[in-house]
Amino acid sequence: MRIGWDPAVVAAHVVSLWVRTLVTLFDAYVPTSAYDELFASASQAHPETERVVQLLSQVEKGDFKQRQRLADAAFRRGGVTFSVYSDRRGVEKTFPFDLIPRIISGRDWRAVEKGLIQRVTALNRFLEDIYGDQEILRAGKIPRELIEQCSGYVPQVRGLAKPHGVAVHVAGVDLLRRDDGEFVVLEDNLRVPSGVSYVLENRSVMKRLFPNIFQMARVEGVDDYAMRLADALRSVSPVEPCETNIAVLTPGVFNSAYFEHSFLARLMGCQLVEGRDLFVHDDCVWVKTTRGPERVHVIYRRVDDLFLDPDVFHEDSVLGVAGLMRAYASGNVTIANAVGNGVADDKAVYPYVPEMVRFYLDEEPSLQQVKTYLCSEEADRRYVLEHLPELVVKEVASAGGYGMTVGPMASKAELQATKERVSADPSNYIAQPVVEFSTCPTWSGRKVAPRRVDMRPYIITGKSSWVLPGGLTRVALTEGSYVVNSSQGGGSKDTWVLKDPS
Amino acid sequence: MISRVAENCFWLHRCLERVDSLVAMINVNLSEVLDQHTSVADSWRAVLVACGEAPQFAERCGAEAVADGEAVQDYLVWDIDNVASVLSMVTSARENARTVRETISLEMWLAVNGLWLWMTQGAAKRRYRQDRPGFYARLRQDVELLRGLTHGTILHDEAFHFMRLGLLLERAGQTARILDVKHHLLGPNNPAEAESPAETSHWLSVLRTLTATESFFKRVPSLSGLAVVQFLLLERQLPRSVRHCLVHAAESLEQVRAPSSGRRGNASSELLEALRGRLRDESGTQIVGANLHRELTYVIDGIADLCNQLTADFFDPTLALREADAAGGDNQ
Repeated sequence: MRIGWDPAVVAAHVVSLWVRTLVTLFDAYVPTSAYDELFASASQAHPETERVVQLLSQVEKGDFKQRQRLADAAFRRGGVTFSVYSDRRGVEKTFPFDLIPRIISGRDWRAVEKGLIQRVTALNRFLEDIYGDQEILRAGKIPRELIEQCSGYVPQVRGLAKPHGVAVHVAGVDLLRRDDGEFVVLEDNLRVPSGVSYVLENRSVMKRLFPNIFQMARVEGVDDYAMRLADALRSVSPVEPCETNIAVLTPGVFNSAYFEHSFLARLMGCQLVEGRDLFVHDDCVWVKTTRGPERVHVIYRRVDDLFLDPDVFHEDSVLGVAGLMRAYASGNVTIANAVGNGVADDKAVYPYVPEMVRFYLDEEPSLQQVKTYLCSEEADRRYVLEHLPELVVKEVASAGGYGMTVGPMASKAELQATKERVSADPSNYIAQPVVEFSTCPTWSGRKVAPRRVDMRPYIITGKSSWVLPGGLTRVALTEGSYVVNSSQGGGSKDTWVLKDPS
Repeated sequence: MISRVAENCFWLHRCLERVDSLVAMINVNLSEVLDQHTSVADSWRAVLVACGEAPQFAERCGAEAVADGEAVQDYLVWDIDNVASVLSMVTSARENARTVRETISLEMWLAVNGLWLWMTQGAAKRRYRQDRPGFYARLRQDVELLRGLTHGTILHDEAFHFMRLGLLLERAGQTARILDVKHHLLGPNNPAEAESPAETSHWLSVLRTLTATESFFKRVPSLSGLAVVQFLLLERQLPRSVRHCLVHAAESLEQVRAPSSGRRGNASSELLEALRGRLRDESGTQIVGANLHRELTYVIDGIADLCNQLTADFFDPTLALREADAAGGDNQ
C-alpha cells in the first residue's frame, strides 16, 4: 500500500477544486503597480510562488472566513496580546493576523540571509570600535560630533570590553521590497527588537488551520528560535555555558511586549525576572529566590538602556537594578543586547552603515538601503524643505511609526507643521524618498486585495550569526497605507521561506 | 524559585479556591432559601457575614438589599469593585497566571485565560441569567479542571508546592468559614442536642457544599451536627477537612524549605504545627456547641497568621538583601 501524496493526483485534485468552486481566494485579484509578493500580474503568480499560490487557491472564500475567525479566537484564547500605549489602563489587544502567507523562494532568501549576516557583523564591529579605539572616527568615515551628539551613544560604557566581542545578540532588521523586487534595509533594531513571538505563534496557528497546504508547500521551520537564542546567550556567558544561569529581564506585566518576554523565558526554560527580583552584591548579580540569593550570569534584558541601573542612568528608575553596570564592568554578568547599541541603529547614523561594511569587512554591502537626507546637513536640509510632499520625514529618536510625516499622504497643514519642526530642530530629523514597497494579497474583510508589507528578520549572534528563516511580515491593513506598525493599525502574516525542490 | 513568582503561584490557587468556596456558599444558601427554615434576609446575611462582606455590601447596596437574593448574588459574583467577588477573583487568578506564564504549563494558561474570557466576554452573563445552576456548576468545573491540570501538567517542584500551599490553606480556612455559617444563621445552640428540621437541613447542605455527602455516610451512620463538625474538621481522609488540608500543607511547606536555606521557614512551620496541635487536642465534644464559633474563629485567624508568616519567610523581597549583607560581613 502506498502512503503519501501522488503529485499527479494532487495536481488533478487542485485543478478540479479550482474549477468547481467558483469563488476561490484569489479570484479577481489585481495587484497594484508596486511589486506583489505572490503575483506577477492579475491571475499570474511568480514562477517561484506559483506552486504554493495554487495550493492556496483551493481554499473557498466561505471556508477562508471561517478559518480567519478561528485564528482570531486562537490568539485571544492563547493570550497572544499586546497593549497599545495610547490606550490607558493597559487594554490588551490581539495583533491582527492575516491568513494569507507571504512567500519567499529559497534562492531570494539566501541572498537576504547573506546580506543580513554581513550587515550585523559590521554593526557588531562598529559597536566594539565606537566604545573602544574609535578607529572609524579617526579615519574620518563618520563625523565625530554626529556620534557624540547621538542620543543612543552611552559614554559610560566607553572602554568596557564586550563579552566575547558581541554587542548585538539579537537584531531585527526591517526590510522593504522595492518595485524591482530588490530587498532594501529600512532600519536596524539593535537595542530590544520585538515581535519574534508573533512569528512563532503565527506559524503554529497556520499549521493548525492549513495542515495539508502547509505540508505540501514545504516551508523552512522556525521552531528552534528559542533554543538558538539560549545557546547564543550561554556562549557569551562569563562562566561555562553549562553552568550559566540566564534570566529574561522584563519591565513587568504592564509592558506592551510582556507576552513576548514570558514567551521567550518559557521556551528557553529560564527565569523571567523584574528589576526588583535582582540585586547586586560583591559586583555580582543575584536573584532573590525562596531559598536565598542565586547568581545570574546572563541577562537577556527587554528594558531600555536608561532604565537599567539607577546608579548610572535615570536615578528614579524602578525597572532596573542598582549596581548592574558595576557588575557588568567587572565582567561578572553579560547584558544582552549590550548597553549603548542605540548609537548603531540611530536614524542619523543609518546612512553610514554601508561605510561600516566597507571599513570593517573590506567588502561591498550586499543589501541596499534607502537614500537618507540628514536635516542637520545644510545641503540636505534645503533639499528636504523644498521636496516635503515627496519625502517621508522621521524623528531621529522615535520608533514604532510615531513622529513620522508621509509627504504624499499629508495635508498642507501637516506639511507646514513638519516644515516648522524641521527648521526649529534640524538635527532631530531625517528624510527619505517614499519607497513604493511591495504588496501581498491580504484579506480585506470581503475580498482579497493588495496591501503593503514589510519584513523583519531576526539575527541571533553568539559565537556565530544565525538568521531565523523568514521573520515577521507586517502588513498595512488599510488600503493604500504605508504604515505597518502594530501600534498604528498594522497586522501580521506568516512568512514562508520555501525549501528548495529536492 | 524567585520570591515574587512564588507569591504569584501561591495566590493563583488561593484565588481559584476562593471562587470555588464562594460559589459553594451561594449554592448552600440557594437551597436554604427554598426550604424556608429562616427568612430570606437572614440566610443571605449569614453568607455575607461568613465571607466577611456584610459591611461592604450594606454600604454599596443598602442594608435592606440583603433580602434580595439577586442583589446579593450580583454583588458576590459580578461586582468588580468588590475585590472578593467571583469576577475579581477570576481576574486576579488570571493576572497571577499571566505573571508566571513561564512557570505554568500552556494547558493551565489556556484554561485560566479561557475562564477569564468566558467571564468577561458575555457568555457567562448570559448563562447566569438563563441557567443559574449551570453557571455555578461551570465555575466549579473550571476550577476543578485547573486543579487537575496543575497536578498533571507541571513539575512537582517548588512552584507546585507554593500553589498547593495556597490551595490547601485557603481551603482549610474556607471549610471553617462554611461550618461557621451555622453560627450566623441558626445561632449558637448546641448541635449535640436534639436538632430542629432547620438544622438537619442545614447540615445536609453543608455536606453537599463541601462535596462530602457520600464520604460522610460511608463513615457515619446517622446525621448530627456534632458528627458533621467532627468529620469536616478532623477526618484525615476527607480532602476538604481542615486537618487533611493542614497535614498536606505541612508536607508542601517541608518541600519548599531547602536544607540549605537554614532557618528560613521555621516560624511558618511552628505556626502550622500549633494549628495542627490544637485540632488534635480539641477532637472531643468541646469544640461543638457554644465553643464551635470560637474554635472556628481560632482556625480562621490562625490560617491568616500563617499566610502572613509565609509572606515574611518566603516572599518578602528585602529578605535576600538582608541575607546577602549578613553573608558579606564575613569579608571584612
